[in-house]
Amino acid sequence: MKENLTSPFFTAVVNVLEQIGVSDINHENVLEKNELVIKEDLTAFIGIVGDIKGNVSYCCSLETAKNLASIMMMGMEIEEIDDMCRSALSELLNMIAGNTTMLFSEQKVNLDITSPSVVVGEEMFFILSFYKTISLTLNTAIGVIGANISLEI
Amino acid sequence: MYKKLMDVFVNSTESILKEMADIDIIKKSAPFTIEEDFNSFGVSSTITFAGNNSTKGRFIIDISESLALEIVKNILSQNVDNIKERLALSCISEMNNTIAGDANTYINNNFNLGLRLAPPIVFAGKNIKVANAKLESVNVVCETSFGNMNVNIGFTGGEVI
Repeated sequence: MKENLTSPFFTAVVNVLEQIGVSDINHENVLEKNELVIKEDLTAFIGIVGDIKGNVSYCCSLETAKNLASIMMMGMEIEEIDDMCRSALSELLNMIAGNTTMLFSEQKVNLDITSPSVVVGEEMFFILSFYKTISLTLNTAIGVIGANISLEI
Repeated sequence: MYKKLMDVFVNSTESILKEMADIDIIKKSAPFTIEEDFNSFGVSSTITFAGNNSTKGRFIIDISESLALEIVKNILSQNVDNIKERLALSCISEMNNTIAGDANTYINNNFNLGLRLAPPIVFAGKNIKVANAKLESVNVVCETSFGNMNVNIGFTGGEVI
């Protein structure tokens, strides 16, 4: 997958995490997978339509999700992922997607984002894509976050 | 809310389920609104979309495991023991893609929403909740001889039809 198409997604997630106060962000190597299977208990995803089409997802453990939701909710202590937490995480995803759109518009790539979804469950088995997927693992001070981009190109 | 659009998705689901898997919907609930999270029966496929005038939304077919296994068995003409097998989930995903494509064609021809679909996502698990920020959804529960199925559609933005 062309780097100029995937790098805005990764740049946006790092930008937004830094903006909300997540520190010590570093990433492991970018991996290309033939399909993507996610086994984390929490996955947030958003669709991409327009000049390019696909799905972007971010997954993490429930503990990391609680840390992210806490930051989004001004440091409130989070004991479980409830409605308000899921809404806060959806809003975070909207922020990342909005940032991504802006970065693409600088490259004259016209795209639109769909509404974000946050899925939480137990013993999850997720197929995000049957196409090639680019995955990046972000290590942060609040836990590990997986970022995955799958584009039909 | 977009109740007219709900009818389109339910009609497409009913006809494609019959066409692809030879399964009849024997009873349907009246459409009801879900304002908070959507609780899954266990196997879900989601397609999100965006269209004219900032219309956005998502379509979910959400199926009990017993019904999902029956659908897969009928489409593939082979038994599958575990719904979490790749082949089984890709089959559910493809059916959802066909339903959403069919409904989307009708909607764009008749309501001029210019909807563009993202590729389907499919997942299975226990105690699944699907949250959508600022999205009110309408749900219809469909009963079959093999288990239940939710048809759920949520829209935001655009003009109310």
